[in-house]
Amino acid sequence: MKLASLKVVYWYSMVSAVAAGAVLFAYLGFLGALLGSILMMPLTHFILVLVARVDEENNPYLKTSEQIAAMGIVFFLPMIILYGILPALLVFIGFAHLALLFQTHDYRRLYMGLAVGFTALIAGAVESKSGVYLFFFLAYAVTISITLGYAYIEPLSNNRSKWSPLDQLRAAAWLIGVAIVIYLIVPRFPAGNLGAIPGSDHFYESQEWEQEAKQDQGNGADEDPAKSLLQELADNFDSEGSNRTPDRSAERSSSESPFRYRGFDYEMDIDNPDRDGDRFSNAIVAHVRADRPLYLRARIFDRFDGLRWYSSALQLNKLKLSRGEIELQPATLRSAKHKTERYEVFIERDLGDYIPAAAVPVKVNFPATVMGVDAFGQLHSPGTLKSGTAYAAESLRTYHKGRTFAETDYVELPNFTQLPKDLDPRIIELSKGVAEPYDNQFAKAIALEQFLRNNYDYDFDSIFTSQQHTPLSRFLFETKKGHCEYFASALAIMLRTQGIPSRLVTGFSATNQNPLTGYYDIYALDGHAWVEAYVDEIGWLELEPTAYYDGPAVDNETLSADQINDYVERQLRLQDAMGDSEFSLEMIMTALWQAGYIIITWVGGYLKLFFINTWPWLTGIGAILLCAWMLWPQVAPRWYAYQIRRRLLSAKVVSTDEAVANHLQAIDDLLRNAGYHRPAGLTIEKLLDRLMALEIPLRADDISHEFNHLNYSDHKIEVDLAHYSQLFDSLYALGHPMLRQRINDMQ
Amino acid sequence: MKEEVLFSNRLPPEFVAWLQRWFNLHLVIWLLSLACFIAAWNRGLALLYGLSALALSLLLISHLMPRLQLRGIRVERSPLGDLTAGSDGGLAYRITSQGRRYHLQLVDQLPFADAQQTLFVSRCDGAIETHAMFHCELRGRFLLQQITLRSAYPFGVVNHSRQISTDPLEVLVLPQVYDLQEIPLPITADANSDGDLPIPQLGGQDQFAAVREYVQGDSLRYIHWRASARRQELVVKEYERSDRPVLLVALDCRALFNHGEGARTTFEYAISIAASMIHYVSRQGMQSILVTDNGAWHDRVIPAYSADLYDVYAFLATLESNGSQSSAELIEQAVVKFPQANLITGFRLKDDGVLPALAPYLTHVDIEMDAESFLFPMRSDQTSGQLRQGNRLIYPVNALTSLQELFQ
Repeated sequence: MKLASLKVVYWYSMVSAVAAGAVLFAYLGFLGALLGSILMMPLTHFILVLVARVDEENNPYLKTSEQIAAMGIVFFLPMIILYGILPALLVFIGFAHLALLFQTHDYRRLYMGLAVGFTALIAGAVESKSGVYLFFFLAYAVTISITLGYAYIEPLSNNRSKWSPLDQLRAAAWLIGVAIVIYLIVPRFPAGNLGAIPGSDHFYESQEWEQEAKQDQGNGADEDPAKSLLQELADNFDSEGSNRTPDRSAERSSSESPFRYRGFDYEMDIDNPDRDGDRFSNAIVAHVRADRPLYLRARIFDRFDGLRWYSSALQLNKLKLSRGEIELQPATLRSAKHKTERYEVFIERDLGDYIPAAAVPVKVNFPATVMGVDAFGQLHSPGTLKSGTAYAAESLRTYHKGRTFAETDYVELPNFTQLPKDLDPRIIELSKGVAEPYDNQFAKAIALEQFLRNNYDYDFDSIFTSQQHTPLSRFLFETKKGHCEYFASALAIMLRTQGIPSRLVTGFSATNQNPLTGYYDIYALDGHAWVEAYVDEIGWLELEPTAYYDGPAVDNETLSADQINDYVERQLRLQDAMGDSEFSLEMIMTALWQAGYIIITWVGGYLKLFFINTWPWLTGIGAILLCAWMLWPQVAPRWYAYQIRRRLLSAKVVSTDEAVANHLQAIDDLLRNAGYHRPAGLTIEKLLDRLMALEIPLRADDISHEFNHLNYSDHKIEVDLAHYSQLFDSLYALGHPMLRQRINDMQ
Repeated sequence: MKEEVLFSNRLPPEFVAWLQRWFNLHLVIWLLSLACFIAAWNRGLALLYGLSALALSLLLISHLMPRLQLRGIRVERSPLGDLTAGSDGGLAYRITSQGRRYHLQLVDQLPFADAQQTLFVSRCDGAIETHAMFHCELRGRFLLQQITLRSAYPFGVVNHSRQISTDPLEVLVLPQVYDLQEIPLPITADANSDGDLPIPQLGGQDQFAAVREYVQGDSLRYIHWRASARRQELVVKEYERSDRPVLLVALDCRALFNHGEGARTTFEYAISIAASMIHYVSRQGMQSILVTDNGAWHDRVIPAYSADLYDVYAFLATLESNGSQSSAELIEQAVVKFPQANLITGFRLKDDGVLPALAPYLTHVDIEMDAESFLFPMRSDQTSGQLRQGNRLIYPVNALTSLQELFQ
């Protein structure tokens, strides 16, 4: 059908503009989206109006269309090599859309164009990591619902349809409302990660590291690179701490980004205030795509002098990557008790030269030719990580008694049980009091963790107010509040007082999943410190002593409603922790945003509650309805046929005329039930003539004779009701499938 | 729309038919939704889950909304004036719904119209009236008691249709009546050549019969001034001529006489000719008599100057080819019963040689119908002219004959 409706053209242009804006937003940001939309809208409209004026058979723009399509193919190939498959595909889609516009004469091409636009929206959604993309969803939902609506009604009303804006919005609201409900209740499965290697904006190389990596390989180092370093460290250990090497953080300083978290220095100062003196800027540092919340380790510290933590693992083992991939532990060596998790990290702010990875990384896809691994298995890049860097990794996680473990092997290092010389004896007493009732290390570790979580408060300001003094005793016995480093240090030391090897880990808490994008947003405040303790020869148990943080969860919430709920809770907790902020537009926007979330959460929560409480019933009812729905076409006609017969037999008749009328009505109903709709005005003779084709015993002459006399003559004759009942019984006795079959054959 | 295909139709017809059946917008959305869901699962991205939800929502609404739109709807029809075969007519529809309804399509299979009627109602706030205009093809009495409702609200992706019962409406489509310019008149006794027929005139030496309204063309001589003054409108005097033609039409209602299909059958043509002749003679102030046998003998006398012929047309509209007597048999009985009839019109098939035995003073208008031409219209040529055999005027009629010019 020819596309000649200006309304459809207008709204189709709007859809195109929104789709183009969404894609450009994902890649170029807001300005690109704005410019793209502004250009796309009139361009689409202009081309469609132009094409509508010409005849399809003699379309002068056909050649232009083909040339544009050819250009798309020409651009596609170099784009794949330069920018990867997704940007190349989007450019190709853009050209294809433009080419299609020059051929959009009818509605089927318009629908094809809408499908192309939707594909572009999918590709943009893959790239976008911002919740703002949701606004494009909303705009797209509104525009496409109106476009489809007009495309439906305009041809039916000769392009003069009347559809009020309120009714248009009503349709769009339905679309969006149902989509939200589906979005909330559809379970999220663990990602398949088939062929998913993120594209990075940066690539890291180091000739020096590559040379070192070649030498290491030449030495025949085929064992675990971290383990050999750790063994070397243990062998050369000096219990007095004399093997401490100078701080390398200064010489390999990363950029001075305001988001750089000082805790990631090689030597971590636990009472480190904000050196720049600015208010903490809680911007997004990175995004992580994973199936469950992760704690990404950056550094592991083993020695504590009462004020500072130090890491003994300064030496790096250099490893060459093959096409950007390295396997740190072959799959054949992995234990069955381990679980592999794949995740992707997208760096948004410049960081140090560490590569944040969840414990224990076994396979990494990193945009570099070479990388380093230290004695504790932590990964290092040849250069500081730049914004735009993306990498993927696989880590092994061990689960035991509902808790997560990092490495399961253990090389004894005295530093893991080292205590400061001037340790406050009250700490030993306190630890003993908490852990004594328990008879194994696992239980003791959990008890100490829970003690800190339950009895100490998180204090965001302590990050800025603590001065150059050891706050451990003050934290445990006086203020009883602090930030994650206080908690982690206290737990690590308390564990060591009980003879449990421990180490302090710094990194990122990737637990704040944005329910709109699905990514875990890592804010500056998610720079974090926690503890690993080697217990009962099982492995390094991950402990989270800071109540503010949830810890690395075993499983993620599968329902969107739960994820939203968790997100809102974290946002509110963050707001609470950061205290009152100045009145600003951003604050209002945040408040509105959170209010929206709370409303969605409230609705989602009740929906979830409803589903949780009633799911067996709902499943049962759903199964019954599904069966009924599937069987209904088979059962219903039989049931109707039975009802027709029952009605006929139970009818109380007083005259022959009435009885004949009842029988004829029943015959008519039976035929209609089997798919034969008697045309209006059909004579009894013709009807009976057609029924002869059904191969049933039929006294057509008698019936028509009697019928005509009954209805059209004053001369009454004696009617034999048996003729009619025989006809009905014959039809009924055939059974519905056979009757339907014969009627189909007859028609 | 669901039936819309997304491929060029410049493909092999079988392939196009297969595509039209299976590859439609509905399927494309399913495929996009599935692709989106797979991508969402593979990448674990909430935005993709959101897009997938959007596509699923589109499908869900497309399936559910049309069903909801078609619930609780009643349709009543009423004819817009008389319906006549061969003319345009209309039906009014009143749609009532329980609550507001959007984008309703009414598809009415009118057995007497040239095509099914499709009406579109954008919005119905409880009740709305609309109408359909169509060309009536078949005369007859038709019972309308069902109508098909369709809706693909709001996106046109899934078209759901439902047949509902309406209040039964009996529609009477009158037979097609041609505006004849003349008909053969009785052959006078002194007529000595073909076509030498008397012309009916007003006035003359005949007996005064009645007055009637003046019509343009009437001579001023015949204006009845006294009556005109009394009625405050011009009336003219009418005289009953002793030799005024009285038309008798004997319609053959036998199934044997019915050849052809739809509106182009010998029987339908005969009815139209009969109705047109009665219309003409009535307008000319002549009496006519219709005799038929549709299961039983039936005769009807239409007085001269009958202004309202609806009953006659209605009777003709309901006639079916279920009689047992030919025109010749009917004529033989009718001339006995109606001796005043002097212009006897009968119908017979071309290969039917049975003629009525008529007195020589009666003029027999013999409409001879070529049955084969009704079965194979393309093999026929248009017929014209008449043949005269004594008092018998033969008018050959085939499927391509212009009935309006039959007697010219």
